[in-house]
Amino acid sequence: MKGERWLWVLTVLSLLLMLGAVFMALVQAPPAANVRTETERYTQRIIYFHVPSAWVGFLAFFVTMVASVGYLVRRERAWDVVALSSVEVGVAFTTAVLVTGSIWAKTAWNTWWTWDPRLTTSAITWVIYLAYLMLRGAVEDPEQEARFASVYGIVGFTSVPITFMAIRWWRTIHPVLFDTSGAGLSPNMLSAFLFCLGAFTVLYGTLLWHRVRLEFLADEVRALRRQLNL
Amino acid sequence: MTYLAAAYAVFWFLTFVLVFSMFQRQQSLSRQVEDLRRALEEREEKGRG
Repeated sequence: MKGERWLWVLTVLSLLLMLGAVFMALVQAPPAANVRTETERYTQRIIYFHVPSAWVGFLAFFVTMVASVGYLVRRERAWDVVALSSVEVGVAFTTAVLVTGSIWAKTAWNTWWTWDPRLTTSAITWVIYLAYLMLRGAVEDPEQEARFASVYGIVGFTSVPITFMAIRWWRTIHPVLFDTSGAGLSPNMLSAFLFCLGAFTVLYGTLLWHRVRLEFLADEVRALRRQLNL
Repeated sequence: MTYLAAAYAVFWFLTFVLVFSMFQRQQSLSRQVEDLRRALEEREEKGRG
């Protein structure tokens, strides 16, 4: 019950932070200095939701990898529940990354899609985790499903650092926001950006907690059905 | 401006779909838990009687 109350506090906090993020991104943040057209002046503000969505996607898949290792070591259902739940949230945010990135690309590169290394590796990561969700349903034995998913969750994670490093390893037209010389944002832009990053991280934690709770509820249904021989 | 609005609309739409689907599943599972618990209690009562 105590946990329930904290979950609802976190849910309200997430909502307020996300509203704050919209304000920071659309009102508080100054326009970038290097924009060439009026359209770009508006669309550069997409980064305040695009990049934090990508961060949440990476974080979610990292949590899945850690939880997968946890499951293989401990063989406890809770680890598998966290791994599965985190993938579902991560896939939703990665979908947002691909769509918002595509909209930005249309104004910056005059195309919705190009097979640039960053875009390609991002799409591959998205497909890998979408397949994770689909393949889980294909295995009938729950323990075998969890074991298979754990191995998949660990191996699949290799796509995340490759996606992150794609713009540093290969020739690309995708902007590099952070490099060894620092952030490519003015101080006011950076504060708005960091606020959004924080808000998205809290939102991820909240969604993950709700999703984990949902999976345990599904477990309870399965257990009751077994008791009733249904 | 249209592209910016579209990007933010897509983000909120996806978030809404995720939250709504979780809410729907939670409602359905809570109902199932209630029904199954009731069925279990009824069966136990019948067993005693």
